[in-house]
Amino acid sequence: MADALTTEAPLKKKGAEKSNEDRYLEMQFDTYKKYVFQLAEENPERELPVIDVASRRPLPHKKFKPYQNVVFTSQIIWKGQRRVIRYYDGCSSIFVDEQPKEKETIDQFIAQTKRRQFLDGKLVVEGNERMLLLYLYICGWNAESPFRTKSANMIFVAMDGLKIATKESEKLDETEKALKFAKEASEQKMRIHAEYLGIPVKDEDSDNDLTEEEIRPIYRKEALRNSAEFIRSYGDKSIEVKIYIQKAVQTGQIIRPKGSNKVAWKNGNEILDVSGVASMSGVEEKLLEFSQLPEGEEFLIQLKAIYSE
Amino acid sequence: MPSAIVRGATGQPGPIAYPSGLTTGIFNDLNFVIPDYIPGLISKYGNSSYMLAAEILGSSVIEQANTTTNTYSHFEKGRIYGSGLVKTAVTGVTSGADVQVALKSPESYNNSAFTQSPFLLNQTIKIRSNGRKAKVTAIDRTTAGNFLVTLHPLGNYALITGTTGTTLNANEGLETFGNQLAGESSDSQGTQQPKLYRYDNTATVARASVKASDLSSMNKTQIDFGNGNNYLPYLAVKTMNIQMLTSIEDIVMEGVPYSNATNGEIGTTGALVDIGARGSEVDYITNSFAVGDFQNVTNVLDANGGPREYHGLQDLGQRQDINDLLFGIYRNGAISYASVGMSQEAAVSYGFRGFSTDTFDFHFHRYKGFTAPAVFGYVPTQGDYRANFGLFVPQGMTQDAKDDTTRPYLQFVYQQNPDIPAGMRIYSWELGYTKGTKTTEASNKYEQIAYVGSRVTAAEQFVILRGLNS
Repeated sequence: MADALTTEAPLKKKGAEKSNEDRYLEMQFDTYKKYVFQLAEENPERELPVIDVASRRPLPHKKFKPYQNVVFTSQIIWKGQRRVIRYYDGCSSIFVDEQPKEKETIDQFIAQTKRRQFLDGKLVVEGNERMLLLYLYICGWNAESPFRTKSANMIFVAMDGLKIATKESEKLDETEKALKFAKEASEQKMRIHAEYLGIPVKDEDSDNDLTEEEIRPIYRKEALRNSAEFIRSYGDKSIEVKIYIQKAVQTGQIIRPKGSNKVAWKNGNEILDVSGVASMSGVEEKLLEFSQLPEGEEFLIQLKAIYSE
Repeated sequence: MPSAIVRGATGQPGPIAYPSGLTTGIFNDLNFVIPDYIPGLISKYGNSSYMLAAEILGSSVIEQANTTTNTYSHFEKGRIYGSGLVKTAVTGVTSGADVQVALKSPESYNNSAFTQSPFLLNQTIKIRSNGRKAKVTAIDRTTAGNFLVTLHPLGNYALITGTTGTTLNANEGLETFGNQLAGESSDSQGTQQPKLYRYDNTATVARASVKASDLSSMNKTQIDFGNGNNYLPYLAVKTMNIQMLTSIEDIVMEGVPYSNATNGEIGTTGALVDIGARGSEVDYITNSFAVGDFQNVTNVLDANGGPREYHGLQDLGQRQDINDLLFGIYRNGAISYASVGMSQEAAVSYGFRGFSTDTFDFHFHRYKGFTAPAVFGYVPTQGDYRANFGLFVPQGMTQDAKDDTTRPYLQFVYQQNPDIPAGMRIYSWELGYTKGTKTTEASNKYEQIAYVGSRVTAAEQFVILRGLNS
């Protein structure tokens, strides 16, 4: 497998003056390399695996269907207009409006065009098939084509080695970042975040609070397991506030006097009118919304003062 | 209460759900009668259900399966002809000289550990690009996924790709045969055997209920819902029956995922899930179906050893595409309303239309289950995963690799509680204040249950035909 975009490919060149259309049309491919395209949709994993009778072991999951043909006609958005492209073996343009119109010539093109397929999810194209490669990069079936229409089915993507490496590298960066957060978070921050992530912070049998040393390894493992969600929620201030509100309600710091439409601090100081909200979870949501508004700033300061000690 | 049609009969959103059952306020316009089951349903609901059509075309399509768990299995054999691909190009190959090739993984190996391949000592090997033959003189199986096979050319030629040059290319196909040049006093050869696979699936549990109060059962309406019956519980039960049929069909075709079920429920893997993963897909441009697209289908069927006869279940969009092209071109001659197991008249009345090409017979059936407007009465605007969709189902029977049991390729598998009378695919019962089993509440309940799943044998021989939107 080779990088789809060779060092010669104009896509990698900087140059604001060139349009996407121009840059794609000028793409060059290494004639000695092969370019790989892969189906965009993977098979769902079977609920029950297929069993190899001889070894009595499950067979590995097959990610792609064994066969899917390539469709050689596509509508695209080209310079703001709909345009039809079609690939024929031996034709010097992929744009239908630039291709020969004579029926005999078209019939000849159709007859000589080889059928191509994704086999086990992969299509391998020689670098010397420039028109075919142009078609595959530009057509609407390519899920990453900038020229695809919104309604076009997403059938395949280019297996770009550089892109894959970058993705993997980004994933590793993400994991490292999450692990750093997990290791360096203050105990209080960790407890709040752990609670949000569903990590137990109390011993189920004794109802004792778990110690920092007991929670931290599980917390770090969670950072490793689901780094993206860990980072997203770590930086989400509203989660902290939500947990504070829940605690304040549970411990009676915030109360809703019986028959009242208002919530108040336990000393009776009113916080908010919650008319029409029946459940306490609804009240908590209201308080969270309130805390994010300018008029809720004072409430937020008081709330944080209770739990940030 | 006067009757009033608030919305067209086929419009969205369809029926009303009554968690507490039917009352008089609801039933002023409705009637229904005693529950009716499969035999009656066939004549009543006609050809809109593929399940019922399949029933008509041969009851053996549906198998009663009793199992100790709700898992059922079948066995399939792998392909019996072995082949492999060249892993890396071999250069400098000369006429008459042996070459050593590494076998590419995973294509050349039968197991995930890459320790089994179809290649044997003394086998005759054919190179696909040029048909040149060679004999296997040595196999080095030291490294998994990198078996080294030494080939000796049988003719005075070079073991290369094509007919010129000195290179045997990577990905060249090597096809195995038995020893075709054993010579005098030959000894025993090695053994090749296809792999055996077990496919498991489970039956899910489908339920439906109708509850009608005493007063709702007493009010005679002005509408005759069939057989001169204006009374309860005709319409609601008929609706329940149709919904149950549609539900079963959807269960078998699309499956019921359960990996995220919260209470340990077991669903089933649907036929289309299985076929989507193991079968082939042929795409074409919606509204531009061409003869070449059909040839793509027959090429795939041929390559996968499909039987002669296929049912093509299609949504209306694809049906129209096919009608426009095939039945437009072949007005005379090639079109036949083939038997599909019954008379020509029956085939037509059960919604099949035939077409024969490239040694295959296709019987097209407009399958409403793929089409949201036909079933639910609305037009999807945010995407439609079954738009311009068709499924080609091989017909005839196929044998289980383990015990030679014959089955249809696509089977509705019903499981049976031993306490339920034999032969019941959908078990129904009723209880209530006027029924055999009395209840204190003045209402009647009508209940249905089915334990059902799909079995797809030789999914490779099915084809999905899908119209793409540009």
